Amino acid sequence: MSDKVYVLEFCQIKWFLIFGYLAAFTFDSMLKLSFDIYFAPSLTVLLLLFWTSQLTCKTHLFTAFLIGIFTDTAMNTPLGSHALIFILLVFFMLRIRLSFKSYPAWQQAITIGLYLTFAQVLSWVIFEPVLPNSQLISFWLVPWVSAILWPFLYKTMLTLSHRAMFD
Amino acid sequence: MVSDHYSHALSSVRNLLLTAIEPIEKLATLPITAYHFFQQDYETIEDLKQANQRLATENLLLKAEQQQLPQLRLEITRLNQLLNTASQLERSKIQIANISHYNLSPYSQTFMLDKGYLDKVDPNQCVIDSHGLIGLITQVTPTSAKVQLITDADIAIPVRIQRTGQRGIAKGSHFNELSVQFIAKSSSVNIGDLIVTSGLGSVYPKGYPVARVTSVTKPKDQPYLEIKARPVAKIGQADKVLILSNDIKIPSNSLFQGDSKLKLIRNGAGK
Repeated sequence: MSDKVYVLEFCQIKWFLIFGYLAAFTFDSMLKLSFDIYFAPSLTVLLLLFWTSQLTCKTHLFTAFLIGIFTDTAMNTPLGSHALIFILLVFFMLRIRLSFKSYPAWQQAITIGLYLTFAQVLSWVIFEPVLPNSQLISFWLVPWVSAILWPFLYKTMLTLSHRAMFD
Repeated sequence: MVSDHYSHALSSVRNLLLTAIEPIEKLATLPITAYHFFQQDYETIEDLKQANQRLATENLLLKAEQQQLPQLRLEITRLNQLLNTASQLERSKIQIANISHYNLSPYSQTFMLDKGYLDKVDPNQCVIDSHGLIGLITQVTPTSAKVQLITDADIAIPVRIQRTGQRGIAKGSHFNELSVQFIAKSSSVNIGDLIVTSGLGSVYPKGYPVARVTSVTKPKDQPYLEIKARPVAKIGQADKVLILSNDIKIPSNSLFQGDSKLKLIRNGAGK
């Protein structure tokens, strides 16, 4: 109850937001290109869901489209396929974002896990990935790992955005 | 999505987007580049001596083989004239490129080369290593090119069995394996047979080794054999590759150049 109440404004954190996306996209590429790690969730998508839930003055649909297009280019998938998945994720987040903000951490983590499961099912249907046993496990581990990481990411991003606004 | 998947209508957009994310990808590969850089520094002098000796031996053998090459080339030209071959691949132009990084994800199997438009690299050029075909260039930026590997599920290569000349289509299956389709049950295919490019479709030049047959099964309810093959190229290990240009030209000494040449060959003067 003693938490400071404030509303995030886009103009106050736009550079933080843009560089955050760039850093997240670089980190995602690094995991795949340098370390061959496939069970880690996309940090860019988690950031997209975070900003969709927190920055309520924007719909973030265009951002989802852009990130999707760049992901398609990086992963050599048909242009617009990841964009479609990300736009659907953002659309579902938009419908619950006000109540999502008030959820406790565990409930938020479960919601994010379910969203990412939905994204993986869509990826499975659209791309028909060819997966040996180890990669099959990694593929379905992604939503679980995102659910575990979400509370830490949420807390970190809130702290950083608070600093970006008031420092 | 449909337009991009079934046609090349958005290839220029894709090239533009690839150019935009190129700096990010270069930044993302810094850890693996740094790892390779430091790993090279720790190679012992003994390793380098052994590598040097092996390369010198290889060089000697290749030079010995090369001595016969001009004679063989003349022989092929003469045979082509006798067989009335209208067009053929002239000596391919070759460029050497370094692989900057691999992307072997469940969705696609690609790698990036350090040469692009500025080095006159174009889409649909073939990439080989010292053992055989590796892939096809699908996207090009000013300074890099994306190569789709032959093991990618979206790629299909017109091939033939070198021993029998039987034609088929090789398709990737992601697990460092290819399946060869449309080869009739009555055909003779043995384990260990070499599969080479057939040259049909004018994308892949004729005669480059693609894979070796690892298993052959005869399904009861299908008219074709089920053939699995392993690529002969060292996919995932190569760091330097060759880019071939596919300029198909009618040779200047072709039969179609004039009747006088034809008469010369008929009279045996061409021999």
